[in-house]
Amino acid sequence: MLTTYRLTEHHTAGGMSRWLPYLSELQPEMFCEVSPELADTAGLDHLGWATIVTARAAIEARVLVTDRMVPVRVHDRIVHQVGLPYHWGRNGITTGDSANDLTHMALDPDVHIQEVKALTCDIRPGRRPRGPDRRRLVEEYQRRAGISATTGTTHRTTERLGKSG
Amino acid sequence: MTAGPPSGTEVRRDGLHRVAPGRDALIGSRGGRRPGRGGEVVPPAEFRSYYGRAVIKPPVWKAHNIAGYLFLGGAAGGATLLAAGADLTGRPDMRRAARLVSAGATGLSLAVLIADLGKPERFVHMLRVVKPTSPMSIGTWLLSGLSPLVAVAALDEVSGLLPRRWADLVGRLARPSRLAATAIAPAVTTYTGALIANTAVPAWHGAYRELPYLFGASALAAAGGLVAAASPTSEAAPARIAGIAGSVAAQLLDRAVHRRLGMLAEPLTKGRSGRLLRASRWCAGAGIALLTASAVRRSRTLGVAGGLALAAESALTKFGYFHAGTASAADPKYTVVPQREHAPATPA
Amino acid sequence: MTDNLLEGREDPARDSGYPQPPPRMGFFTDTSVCIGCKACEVACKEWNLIPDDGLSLLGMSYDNTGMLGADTWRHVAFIEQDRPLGRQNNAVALMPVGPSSAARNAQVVAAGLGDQHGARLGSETGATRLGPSPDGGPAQPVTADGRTELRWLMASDVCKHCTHAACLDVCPTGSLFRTEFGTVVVQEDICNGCGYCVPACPYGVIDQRKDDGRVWKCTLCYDRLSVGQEPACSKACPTDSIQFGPVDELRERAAHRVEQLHDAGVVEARLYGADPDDGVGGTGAFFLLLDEPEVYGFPPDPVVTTRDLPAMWRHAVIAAVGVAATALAAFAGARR
Ligand code: SF4
Ligand code: SF4
Repeated sequence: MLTTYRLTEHHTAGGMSRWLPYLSELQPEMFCEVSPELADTAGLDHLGWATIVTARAAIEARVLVTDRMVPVRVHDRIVHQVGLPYHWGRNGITTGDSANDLTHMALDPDVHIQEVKALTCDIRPGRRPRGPDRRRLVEEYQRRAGISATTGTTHRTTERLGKSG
Repeated sequence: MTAGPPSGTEVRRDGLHRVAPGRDALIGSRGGRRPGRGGEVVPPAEFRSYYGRAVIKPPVWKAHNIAGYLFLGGAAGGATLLAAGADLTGRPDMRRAARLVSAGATGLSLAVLIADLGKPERFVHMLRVVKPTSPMSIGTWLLSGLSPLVAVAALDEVSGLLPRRWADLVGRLARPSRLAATAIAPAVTTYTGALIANTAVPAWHGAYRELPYLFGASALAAAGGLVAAASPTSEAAPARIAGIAGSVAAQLLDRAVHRRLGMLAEPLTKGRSGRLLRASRWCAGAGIALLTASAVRRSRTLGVAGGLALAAESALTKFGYFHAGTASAADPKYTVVPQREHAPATPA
Repeated sequence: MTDNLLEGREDPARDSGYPQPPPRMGFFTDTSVCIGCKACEVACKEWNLIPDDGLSLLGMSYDNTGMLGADTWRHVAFIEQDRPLGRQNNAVALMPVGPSSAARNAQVVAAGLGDQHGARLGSETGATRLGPSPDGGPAQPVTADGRTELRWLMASDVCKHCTHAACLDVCPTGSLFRTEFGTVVVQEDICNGCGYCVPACPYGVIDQRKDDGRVWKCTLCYDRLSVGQEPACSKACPTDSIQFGPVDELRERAAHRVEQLHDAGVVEARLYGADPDDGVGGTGAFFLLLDEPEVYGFPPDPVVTTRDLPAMWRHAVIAAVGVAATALAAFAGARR
């Protein structure tokens, strides 16, 4: 499971703050935060590289292992969390892959805001493939998960609203 | 300057404004845990630090400049003394050798010191003040005093090459400047010990009682060695004796420093410093043996080799101590562990 | 100059020759309310026009600054620990977690620093393997018996403006001077880059700027103080973790705050630098810490090096006499 959040050092997607040296030096690189348990399971190294893959894209980030991330128990399953700040992009003093590439085009059903707080992902050690290989990696995941262009495109809100009256 | 809503409390010279409400937030107060229970689960490490980072800043001095100066300054001071002695005891060849060594080493000393400043013209700022709390200030004045005096002495040796009027002037200045130089020189050899000890660098400060003696002795080894190498064997006896005495004393004092420092002596025995100081011991042994042999055999070749060995010993000692200090500053262990022993007790 | 005290209690401004100085000014940094926003770091750089000092991900929690230096006059430290804060119950207690990574991460960072131990700013850290056993064996299963607590310490470090400031004492040009507010400031047009103050500071504060060779550090915003303003960092601090004011008043306030925290169950709260009888005569900028000083990168019991300077001079003089005597003896011996 993946969640995104902001850092105090950057502003929204970083389009402004990544151009400011005083802010960029404080958070100089795109990273992902994982618990020590997930690091062990997935073979991730503190300060090493990881590739995060969702149904939409694959990005890379430096790994920060931290006790602040904890696995959560959902019924009988242990679910790991990957934390991603969403401040990076391809321009500015500090550049990096964008967490927004990963997120789905879905709105939160209650408030109709882009839903970026909980999505499923995989995380693997190492940097992401470059060029067409990157797309092939994502396609491979899509095939295994049975995801097609129409997956998740049904709009359920009206249905629900209709039912509850 | 700053627009927008007030952030925190503002403190001006006339008092407090807009006291922020959150200032006394009671962190950690929620929850049922009794104070003082549960306690520390951190395993007792050898010492703790902030991600292994150094606590103090290691010197920014370049080794070839400052360690080089520790050696050259010592050689200059020692050679000045030997020049005076050679002059008074009628050893003209040794006097010439000693005066040239002293002037050369002094000149090089100034050059490396100024080079280390980055911008040479900034050297004059040193001469704004005389500050007894700064051995570097006192040292600069000592060296600035010594340089013209030893320059006059060296010119006196080569006065044949000077125009007549200059040669006369140098001749008249020679005696007073020799007296003044002899008075300054011993301090030049020892103050450098106080200079590096007067820092927070653990391996240097910890040895502040021994370093001036060690550096003085090492200076005599260097000067004795260089002058012995540059003088004819028949005249060089005092240089040989001074060099050997300095060398023996330096090696004994090096032992004393190790004893004084305890765990702080580790940087002196490990890595680059360890190698340099072990090499200096070999040079000391070789130098003493060769100089003794040269005296017995009346051999100039042995004298040159032995003299240079003693000079090398001195240089290796100075570089070894320089690097050991830097290493002791770069590792938080050497700052934290000794201070922890007498640090205030930990609450809770 | 009046009597030159090298240790003990002192009114630094008066003893430096100001006949009627204003009260001594300083900082009380209460790290218990620091939220790690780094507003102080940025405000300081903005006001003092300090260059940025490079982009490097250090892996020290959210600290990518590393330490104070020529181009960092406020530094916010981040420390993650697997222990509770005061009486706080942490939600983590109910989670299925294994052993903490805090100690291992610190080792990874330290190992990446290499020989120099990150002695200079911005040293790059490399990655060290933390993952499954090196033989490629199966990954450790998630266990529920490991870390149950977490606290995240943050602290904004700064020049201490020592009562007995080693940097000032050893400066051979008089570039470092004592202001009427009892603070210690570098005059950049006088500093000649000799670098003596750098290893003299017992806190590792002052440092040389690589490209111009001169040294730089916190001025306690001397320019702002002179016109009745408070320093940029304390003004920017949203939680009043950084409090500015007359040192006497701050010390009282700090003592009160420690009591308050002890009552709240935060027994580990303690002051650092507030004691005028410590090795540097107390600092003008002092701290409330929640762990031992070295955990934040502070020396546990710093002593101003010049306390021992009179002894050093004594030894240097005796040694000089010894050198002269040995030379004399060498000539006497040779004559025989
Ligand atoms: S903390 Fe260091 S730089 Fe600051 S006044 Fe004290 S000795 Fe000087
Ligand atoms: S401004 Fe205040 S709260 Fe923010 S990091 Fe600095 S000290 Fe902490």
